[in-house]
Amino acid sequence: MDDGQMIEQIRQGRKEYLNTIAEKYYDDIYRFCCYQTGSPDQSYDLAQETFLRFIRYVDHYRHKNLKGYLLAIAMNVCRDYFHCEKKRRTVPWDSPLNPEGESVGGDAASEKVLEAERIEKVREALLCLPPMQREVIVLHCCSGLTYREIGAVTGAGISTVKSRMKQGTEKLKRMLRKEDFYGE
Amino acid sequence: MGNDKIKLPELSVDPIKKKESLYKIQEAAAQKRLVYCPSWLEILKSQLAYISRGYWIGQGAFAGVGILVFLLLGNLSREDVPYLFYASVLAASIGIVTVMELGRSQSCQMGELEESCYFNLGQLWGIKMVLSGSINVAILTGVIGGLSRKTDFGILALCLYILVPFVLSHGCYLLLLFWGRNMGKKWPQITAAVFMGLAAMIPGAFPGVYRQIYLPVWGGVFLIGVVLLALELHSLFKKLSVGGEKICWS
Repeated sequence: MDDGQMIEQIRQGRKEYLNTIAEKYYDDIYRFCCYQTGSPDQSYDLAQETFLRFIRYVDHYRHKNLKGYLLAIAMNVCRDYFHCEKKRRTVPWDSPLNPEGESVGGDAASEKVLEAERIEKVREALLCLPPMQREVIVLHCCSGLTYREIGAVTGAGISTVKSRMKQGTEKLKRMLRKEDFYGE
Repeated sequence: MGNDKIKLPELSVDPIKKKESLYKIQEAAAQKRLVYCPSWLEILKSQLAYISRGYWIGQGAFAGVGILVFLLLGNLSREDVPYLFYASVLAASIGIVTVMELGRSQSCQMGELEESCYFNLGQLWGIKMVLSGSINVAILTGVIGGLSRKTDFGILALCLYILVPFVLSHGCYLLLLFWGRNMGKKWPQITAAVFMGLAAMIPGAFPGVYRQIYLPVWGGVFLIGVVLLALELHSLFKKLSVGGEKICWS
């Protein structure tokens, strides 16, 4: 069942599809919030708040792109978070390297450490970008939205989105080591 | 972006924390009271269903009469048939269907019943008037088109000759309908329609009024009729919105 059909079912009173939508898009929203705020722990709450707002206003939902709509809510939730907490550049990376808590050794441990370092570099570099450029990069590179969809989410024109993407990417590349991110 | 596209590493999601979040979302979903908000098209379709069968029969009858009369007249010679005469009577009496439909609301407690979850009485009447006006104008457009081929009058002149009885009769019908409590009954309305039809025949008794020199007079009468009709409608809808007097007929 596609998103449009699920929304139609919800309008007919079948609330269980609200949970289906949450399960389908939770990971995407979480990752977006994580890259936006740099705080994995807070991002669970922010993702939760995103879906709570969606549920609150689902009666008036009239959009065609559900994922874009959810990301727009997530974007506003993150902006509210920054506004309240004012922690744009000082959020510590407070998640464990291995969320499952398992102990691993040998090559697997090295790979996990390298991966964690890589993620840390990206997180720090993203947090150094202006919020508007960061939003565009995360929406495009993490959530897979097109420039047109990003324009619809952020309220900016396509040329503005492309400009922010170009400038943000150039800044990000300058901050990252090329051999870690090209050609993957 | 080509080869320079940045690929952000995929972050892992803690399944326990995710499950806790989803649980709270499920609680919110369970408590949510869904309100169905239909689109404007759905609302209009449902309102059309509440319009009486008699209305559609009446409109169909007038459309049929218009077609029949002019097809019949088309077989006679031009000099023998007062085309404008019959067209004016049709234009003057066609509004009776709309008035009778609106008059249903004046039956005992019908006004309250007709108000639905989406529209109040004023809005319902607005929809019925717009619908009726569109259908009547379409019928009259066909009549004018037929007349233009059978007479020597220009389109503008024909429009005025037909629309003047149309507008004036509607003004009288509305005035009658909302003047008093018992004017919503059918017999006063039918009597009014007959009277308006007879009144529309008067210009036909004086063929000279259809000369081009009198077109400005027709235009002036048309404008006055439109202004009076607009004032009537404004007064009517204002009374519906600020007080219940017009609803509490019963």
